[in-house]
Amino acid sequence: MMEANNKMSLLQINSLKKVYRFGHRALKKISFEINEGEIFVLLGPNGAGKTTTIKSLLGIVNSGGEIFFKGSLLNNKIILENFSFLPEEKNLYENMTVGSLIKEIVSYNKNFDLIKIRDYLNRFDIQNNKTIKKLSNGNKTILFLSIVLSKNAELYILDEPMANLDPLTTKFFLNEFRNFSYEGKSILYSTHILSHAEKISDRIAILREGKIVVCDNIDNLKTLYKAYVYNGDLPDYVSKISVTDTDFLYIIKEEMNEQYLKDFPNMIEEKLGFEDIFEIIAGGNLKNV
Amino acid sequence: MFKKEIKDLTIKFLVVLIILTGLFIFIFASKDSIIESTRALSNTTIPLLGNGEQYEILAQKLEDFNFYVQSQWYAKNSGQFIPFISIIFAFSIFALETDKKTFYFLLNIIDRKKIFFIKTFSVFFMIFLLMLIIFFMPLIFAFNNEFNILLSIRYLISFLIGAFLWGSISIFFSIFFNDSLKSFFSSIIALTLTTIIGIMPLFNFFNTFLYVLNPFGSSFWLFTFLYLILGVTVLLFSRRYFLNKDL
Repeated sequence: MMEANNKMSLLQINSLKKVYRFGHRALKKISFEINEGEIFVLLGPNGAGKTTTIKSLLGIVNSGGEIFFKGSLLNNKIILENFSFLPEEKNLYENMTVGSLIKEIVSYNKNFDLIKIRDYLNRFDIQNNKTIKKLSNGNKTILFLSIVLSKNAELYILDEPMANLDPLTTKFFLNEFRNFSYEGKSILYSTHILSHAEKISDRIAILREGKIVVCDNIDNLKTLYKAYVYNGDLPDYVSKISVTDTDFLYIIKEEMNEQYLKDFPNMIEEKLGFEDIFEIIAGGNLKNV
Repeated sequence: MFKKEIKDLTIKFLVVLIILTGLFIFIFASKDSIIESTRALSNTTIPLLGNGEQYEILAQKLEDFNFYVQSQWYAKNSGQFIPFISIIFAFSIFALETDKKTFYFLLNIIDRKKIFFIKTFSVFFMIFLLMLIIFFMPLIFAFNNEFNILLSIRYLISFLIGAFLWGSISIFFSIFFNDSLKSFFSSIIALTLTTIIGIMPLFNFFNTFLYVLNPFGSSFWLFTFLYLILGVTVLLFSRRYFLNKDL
């Protein structure tokens, strides 16, 4: 269970699969691992299986495969005691006041830290006596996020946490997530926003059509591939993105680099951005050369 | 979350209570005129409905407060509402959470077993409270009358059992469908179909109205037992279904 970087494995997911009604295979035996204190980001286009992965981990949907938490088979008790979850749909009880909602939460689950919730809400000036339906969408997200982060959990599972948040608030929470990881808490973060993934991830997994196509850290991915602009055609088996009508960005695996430069000396090396890598991988255009 | 559930159900509770109180006041305020108009029919002969003598006997019976309460309040009026009251309280208890996608928030705080318990308990707490209120309401007008509520205790049992059965069925639909409207209409359709089927003497068991409105039949205790078992079975099945459902 000990990783190369000396971090203990917190969550081990083996061959997770999910088939919805009418035979739609949302997850096709995906496996990955989240370590203690790690921020693990799930990326992928819409419908790739990010939310289904999260719901399967939490037992919200039934799925096949095995999930281990610190070596023990995951069950509902472990989930309730050790996980804290922010769903994609950040819906709370609209008719309750902020204060009464918090009171109810704390009365049912002692894992929530009342002082911490209040600290977050004071910071963003969200008052206890306000009815939730009167809060802006951004403040509803902040309230939900504050509740989730105030739970004393070991794994925080956040599905699109920054929806509706302004840049300053986003920055605050991104820093907060980093602080959590310094404290040894792990975060599974699902997002569409690549800059957030680049900023805070320790590792990412890119999902496509229910499969993990890549699971690595972003720096490794950047060194794994080289990019070249070329105004002609390379063989079909080279990954290609259109840049202009005539120019193409070709992504080539680092180890094949020399060979291609010899064959196509007019190629101009381009600095490869994470967005380019994501476009190739998530778009299904990554070819194994 | 129990407080929240009770608070959510309070509006329904108050609306039903106001309607029933209005009906109750009307029935008891018009006692004399009901008796008079029944007696007036004794001078006429209405084909198929019988001769005048029967109306005179009925009018005399209605003068007895115990009979008046049983026939006019329990059987003829409030009793008809029992299955509907249960459906109104239960149809949205789970479906609304799925509809509004608030289950995810709840699951962060409590597990499914507790969610099921709290929601089911809250629904039956409110339904049974209403049944008790309906049953004991006639005591308000009883101070001048020789009223023995124990004579009507079977109505209390049939109300509670009937309400429990339809509450359980409606809870099941509320879990099964992710949509409050589907849950509501399924419960209503189930009630309509069972009532129609139960009109046939062989299938009387299916017609819960017959049981609720007339708890003095020979099958009363047998049906009480069977409805109780059926209600518990539906509830246990609903619980199992909820614990394994994709939310």
